Parts: sequence; C-alpha cells; structure tokens
Amino acid sequence: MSEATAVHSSAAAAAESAPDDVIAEILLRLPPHPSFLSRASLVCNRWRRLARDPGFLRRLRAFHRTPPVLGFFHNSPDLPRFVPAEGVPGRVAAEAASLRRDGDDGMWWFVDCRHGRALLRSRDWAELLVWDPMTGERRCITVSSQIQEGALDLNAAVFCAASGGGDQDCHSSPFHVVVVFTTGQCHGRVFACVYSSGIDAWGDPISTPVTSPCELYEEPLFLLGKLCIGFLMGAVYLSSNSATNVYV
Amino acid sequence: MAAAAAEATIDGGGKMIILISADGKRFEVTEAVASQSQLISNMIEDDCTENGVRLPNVDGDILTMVVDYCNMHAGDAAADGDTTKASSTEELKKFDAELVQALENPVLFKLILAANFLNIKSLLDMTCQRVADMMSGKTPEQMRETFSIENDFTPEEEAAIRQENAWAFDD
Repeated sequence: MSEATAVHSSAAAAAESAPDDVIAEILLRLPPHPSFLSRASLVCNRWRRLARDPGFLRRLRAFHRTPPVLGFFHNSPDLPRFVPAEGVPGRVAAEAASLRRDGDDGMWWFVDCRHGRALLRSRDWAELLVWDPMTGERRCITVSSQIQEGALDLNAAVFCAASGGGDQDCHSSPFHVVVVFTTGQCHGRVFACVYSSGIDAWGDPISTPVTSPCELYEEPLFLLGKLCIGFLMGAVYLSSNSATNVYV
Repeated sequence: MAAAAAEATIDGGGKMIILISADGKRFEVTEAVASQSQLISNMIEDDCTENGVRLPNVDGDILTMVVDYCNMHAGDAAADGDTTKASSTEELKKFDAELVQALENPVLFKLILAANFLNIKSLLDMTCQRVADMMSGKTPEQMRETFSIENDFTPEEEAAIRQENAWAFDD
C-alpha cells in the first residue's frame, strides 16, 4: 500500500468512524444560514438523516438562538419582490419575481410570512397564494364566498398546523390560513374564518362585538403561543390558531 | 481525598494519575489536569485509577495533544475570579487557536474522537467548530473529498434532494 493510500484510508476511517453524536456536534456548529446545513445533508445518507432529525433541529435552534435573516419581501411593483441578505443564494429572489398572476394588476401582494411559508393575495382578496420559498411549492386558495361578500377590511395570517412550539418540520406539515375581516353590513363586529390545507376547506366564520369604529390595520398579524394577535383601530384582537376553535 | 494525602503528590497538591495510550505510552498528569476529562474524573471519584488509566482507543500521538491541551487548561476551572489569570487567558486563546489551525485530517478527527471518548467538552467544542469551519463554503462534493466520505446516494436520490433544496445550491 502506498503512503498516499494509507493516509487516505486512515482519514476515511477517522471521519466515518465518528459516532452520530459527534457528527451532530459538528453540523450544529455550521454557520446559521440554512444553506450550509442543506449542502452538508447532501454529503451522505447518514449526514442527511442527522441533519433532518427533529431532536437535532431543536438543538440547532437553541444553539443559534436568533434565526438568520435571509432577506425580506415587499409589495412595491417597481422593485425586486425579495431583497436577499448578503450571501443568500439568488434562487428565492428569482422565484419571488416569477410570482405573477393572470388578470387585474398581475400582482400577488404579500400579506404574511411565517413558519417557512409566505401568504399572498390578489388585489381584490378573491384568491390567496401560499408559497414555500424553500421548496417552491405553491397552493392557490379561493377565498370563501362568505368572506368575499361584504368584507370591508381584511387581514390574514398563515401558520403551520403542527405549530405551537414550532418544533415540527413545518415544510411537510399542513397549514392554516386565518382571515380576519369586518363587514359593511355588520358594524361593531369583527369576523374570522380559517382555511385548513389538510382538508382544503374553509370553516364557518365566527364573530365577536368590538368597540366602534372598527377598522383593521394592515400590519402583519402575529402569533403568541396559540393566539393570533392583530390590531384594530384602538383595540387588539385575539383569535386562537386552532382550526376548530376560533375566538375573536 | 484526605485518605489519599499520603500518596504521591507534586507541588501544589494533587495525586498523580498515569494515562496509558493504545500503543503503551505512559503520561503522568495531576488529578486536576486529568479531571478535565469527565470520564477520568468519574474514575477518580470511583477510586479506580490506581494502576493507571488504559485508553485503548487513543493513540500516543493524539494523547500527547490531549495532555498538552489539558495541561494548558488545568487552571481554567479553578481560577475563576483570579486576576493573575488575566494574561494567561490570552495565552490560552493563542494556544487553542494554534492547536486547531494546525490540525488537518485525519489527526483532527482522531482528536475529536479522543475528546468525545474522554468527554472533554471544551476540546470537543473547539475541534468540532474547526471541522464546521472547514465545511462552510464547500460544496457537498468538496466536503466528501475533504473528509473522505463515500457518496452513498443513488443518482436519483441525489437529484431529488438537490431539487428539494434547490434554493441552497444556486450561488
């Protein structure tokens, strides 16, 4: 055996004989941008299995604490729809630029972004688009007629159906979209309706009285534990993010 | 530890421990140095280091590095709040930086395996970070080459994974 071969086989023995927990310790210390882990997961089956393990992903989030900023979406039709952070591959920006729809102004408008998915709407709120920027998967949803008829102000949020702690792999989980709206006919009430991707259907709208005047703010809704929180003129509204129980 | 006071000690106190590598090299270190290994620390507590500690999966050259590292860091844990340690903190950083920078395969992985087996957390952290640093910026092919890892994906599997993570591979 030549010297070069001996060194090579010795190196192979060293790296491949490392137990799973050692490889996990190494993968944990990759820079926080997820593309580093994605590349490492293509090295071999074992590395891929380790990098996708839910327990490992929990540790990864705890290790890096603050998730990296990959960039941001915005709604200006004259500028790129996605502005990537430095060092981020250009694929997401390219796909964001391709988010065109037929009819009216041809635009999908960003409404919300959470748990690995972006939520966009047509100008008239007749359609919603849920887009996974990582996998490129898209789902177009026709907004329930009960919402479309008479809705005055609207806001919406997308969230992973498995979330709560955020430990699950949201990309492969079903999702919910909650639309919160006010109507012209029914002053002093705010309504909410939830779409569930698992059954591809909208639930019945529910409503609650609020102090008048009632105007929804356009700021993205946010989740606090199981609650979806948004702003009304002069008030904060809450709704549960469970598909079956919505409290407005 | 009062019962052990009569046994061999060095200046500054502490019983001496003999570490024996896979190839039979012997290293005499203080308990304070050896205790940085959680494995050996547990053995000291269990009183089973009398006849030396055999480390059948750590070669002499690797154990030399481990012992050097532990000698340098022996004051760490005990010296918290000791202002005289301020200058040596810089020395330690320099020592650590030089140690890991000089390491390449396969020695680096052997040192990681030794740190893992001996359960020396700070050394494991440092060496794993070095490997992670070596990986960042490399393509999967370059990582396989650097660490001599065989690609065990079928071409179909590899294509599917690339598709699934397409956004990460488009620089």
